[in-house]
Amino acid sequence: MDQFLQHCLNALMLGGTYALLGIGLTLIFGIMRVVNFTHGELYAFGAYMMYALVMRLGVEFFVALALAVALGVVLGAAIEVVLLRPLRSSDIDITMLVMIGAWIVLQNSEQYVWTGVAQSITSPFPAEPLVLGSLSVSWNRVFVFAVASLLIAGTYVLVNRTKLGKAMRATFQDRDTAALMGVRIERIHTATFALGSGLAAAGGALLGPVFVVTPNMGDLAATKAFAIVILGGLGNVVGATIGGFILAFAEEIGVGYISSGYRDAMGFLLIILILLFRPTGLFAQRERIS
Amino acid sequence: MSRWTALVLVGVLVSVLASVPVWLTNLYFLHVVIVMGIFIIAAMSLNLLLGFTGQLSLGHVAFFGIGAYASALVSLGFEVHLTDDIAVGIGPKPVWFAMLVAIAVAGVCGYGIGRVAFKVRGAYFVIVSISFAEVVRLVAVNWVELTQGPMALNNIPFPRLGAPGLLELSFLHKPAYYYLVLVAAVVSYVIIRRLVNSQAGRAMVALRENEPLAVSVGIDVTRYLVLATVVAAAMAGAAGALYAHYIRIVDPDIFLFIYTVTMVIMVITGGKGTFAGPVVGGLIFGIVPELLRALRIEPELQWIVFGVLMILIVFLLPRGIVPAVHGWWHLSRHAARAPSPPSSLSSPSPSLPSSLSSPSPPSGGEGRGEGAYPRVVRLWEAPLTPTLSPQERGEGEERKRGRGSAGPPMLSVTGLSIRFGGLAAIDDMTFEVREGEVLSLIGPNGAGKTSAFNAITGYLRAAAGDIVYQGGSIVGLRPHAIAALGIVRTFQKTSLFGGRSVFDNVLTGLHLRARQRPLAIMLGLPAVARDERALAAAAWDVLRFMGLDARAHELASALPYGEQRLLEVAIALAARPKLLLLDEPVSGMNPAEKARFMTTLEKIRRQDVTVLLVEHDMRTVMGVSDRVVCLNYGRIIADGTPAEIQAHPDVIRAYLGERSVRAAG
Repeated sequence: MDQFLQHCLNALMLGGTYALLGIGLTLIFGIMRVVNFTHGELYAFGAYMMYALVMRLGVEFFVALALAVALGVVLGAAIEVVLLRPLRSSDIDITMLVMIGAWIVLQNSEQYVWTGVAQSITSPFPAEPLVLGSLSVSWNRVFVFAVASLLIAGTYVLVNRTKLGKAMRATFQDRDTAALMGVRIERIHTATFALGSGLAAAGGALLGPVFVVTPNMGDLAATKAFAIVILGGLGNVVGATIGGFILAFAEEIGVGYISSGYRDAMGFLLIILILLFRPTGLFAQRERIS
Repeated sequence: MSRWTALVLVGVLVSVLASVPVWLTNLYFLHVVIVMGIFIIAAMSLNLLLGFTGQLSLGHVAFFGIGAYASALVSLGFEVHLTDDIAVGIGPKPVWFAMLVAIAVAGVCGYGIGRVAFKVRGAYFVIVSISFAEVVRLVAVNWVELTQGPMALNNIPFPRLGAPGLLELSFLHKPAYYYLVLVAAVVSYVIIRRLVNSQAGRAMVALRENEPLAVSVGIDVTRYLVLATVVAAAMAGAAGALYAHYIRIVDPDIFLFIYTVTMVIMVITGGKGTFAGPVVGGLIFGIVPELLRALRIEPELQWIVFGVLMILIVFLLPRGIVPAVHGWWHLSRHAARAPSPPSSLSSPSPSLPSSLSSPSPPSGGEGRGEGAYPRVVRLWEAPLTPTLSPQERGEGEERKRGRGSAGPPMLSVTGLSIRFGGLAAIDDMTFEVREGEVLSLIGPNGAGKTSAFNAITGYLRAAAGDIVYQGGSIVGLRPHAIAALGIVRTFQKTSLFGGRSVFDNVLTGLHLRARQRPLAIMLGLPAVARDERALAAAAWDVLRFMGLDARAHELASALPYGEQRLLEVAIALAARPKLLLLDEPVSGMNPAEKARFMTTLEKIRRQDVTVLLVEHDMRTVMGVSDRVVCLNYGRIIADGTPAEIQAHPDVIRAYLGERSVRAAG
């Protein structure tokens, strides 16, 4: 029983970051109709910026975290403006291929700049874990969970309570009508992509100190983000949040009771099963944003 | 291109391909060519999905890898323990047999994925296909007992022909393997070509171009998506098997996403949906990495160049090299020619060509000037068609009555209700269509006319009610099955296979009449060619019937509006309907086009086709209908002859408001 509770706790901690990744991707798909293959690279980018700022430049940990996220936002905006804006009226296939191209370029740039050697980032948290009865969890994970939760909450507020969020929701519902109502679609797209990218970079910057930083760390993150988005239904923010926790839970249970080798297969199996039985995701009547 | 130039080109190509090992004596270069050939086969198979059915599969490498593993394992033999006690295994088998097994295994996996592809489309399918490849890779990594995991399967045997020691041909030598790959590539190319140029291929392309329309002429989406996936998967499996027995080592990295990406780039660069595209793309992306390597560029930079190249190609040549070259070729050849003449719709006589005239050549000669336009104005003032003229009206009415009311009920709709959320689009609707009549469904916008159409043809599920056609309920049947029963519809918004010729559009419409088995198509049996000839003749008949024969070789999307709408009807007629449902066929037409359409409709009903018409144009409705049913807010408010409907107070109220009724009364 204790073991099961420990798995649940781990899943909760992990789920926060998964949800962070999923929300960014689902927003981008929902609003822009772009299958964003660079999402994992933005995650890796966040981690590498964290590494560069903390380990190479000696920037204070929490300042570096904020900076890494900001840089992710900037990179995301740049990708949108340079690659996606000219293709706004193209097929989903075409943008998908461009995004695959960008993913290859980004990942290999990381490999080129930082080499393939795994890097680690020292965190300022105490090494001994937080013990709750028979359960234990590292302080670093608690911090990651807290920040992720804050960012998720912040995204909710942004989407549901602000004027920008209203414009995003309008664009999601009907791009052309939104444009006719005076929404500047290209700005919404840039803002959405930058926001989604920032969230991915935050995920990387938060988890970089927990794990190690490698150039292809983004691949796994991206595939998991896709699984989460499918679980929740494309474009569904609430669904992505819950989907993040479900995936984390499935993985933890899979590792605990089946085999650790198939940990990363869990997400894909979930995708395939969900799509077979509920093609629009678990929580959607149809695709929606909030 | 003339026949001779084509022959010479093919001859040159064949001799170049056949002589590669003769002049390419550097074995490393030959190795590059062999690997390139294997990837070209994989890219061609992907093109069948990506280019012809329009399904972006990003898990294609899974089939390639499954083929490689299956062939390697069967030729090496394996044993796995399902439980601690129960073990399954086979001993080493001949390589050729292993390759066949690999093709079959990949094909079976393709069948599974094809079934899924039917359920989830677009972005979802992309993600499913990626997930599939990734799951297979993880199995290959973790099922060490079967696959050796990351340690890889080593010493995979190479194929041989003949008896050992006596006339033995070993494919360990690169030139021999080159010919093996060349044969496989040519066979794959021929199979794809045959498939695409058949009924099956037209069905696949129709799904890509316009799925609702494809379904309306009886094309079964599942069947053709599954067929395309099975063939593509089996072919990729063959490529994988060739790869395994050439490289002679297989590890889980064969499933990496980057290989799928490479195949996709090959197809997109060359031109998806073209026969030569994957070959051209395969040549480019087979050679570019080698060039980069030869320039001693670091691998990361090679990949960066690769990625940038991919982005540039999508930006600069979104349709690919082959269509672009094709376009330039055409431009340079046709630049001197005069543009083709304008629409034949404005022709002084809208009479249709005799159905006995010889098969018509492509359009060109008949020049018609702007001088025809004044006639359009005169037609507006004149009665629209002979059927509308007062003198003929009585006589026509009588004839129609005689046929219309005598016919037994063909379709009866009882208590039909359709809801969208809380809104009732149709509420307890009951009406009948009798054999041989023209029944019109009218009503203001939003009255539920198109919803009724969609329910009858299976595009929409009714909340309640029954629809009985020729004695059997058709509720719950899928649209293509309903079409196969003889109920064929057109669409409110112009709906064509826009990227194809007028002739191909009609040929696609003939789907239900075709008798071609997939295996016969791929084997190129003469029966298929005979069937194709018969279909072509039938297509010409339909085109002549609709007066579109002069347009046969034009692009459907390039037709003038009125003829596009005629083409829609031609596609529907090709499906040989017993009950034809026309959804606002004359909306947006000019008066001349309407006149031509009404003549055509009269001809159609003489072919024993019953017509259910939704239309806003009252002249058309009152001119052609035997009976009219008027809907408002989802309910039937009137049902009767055109004259009765015109005088019905509820109809006037629905269209013109309360005051008009009082004014009329």
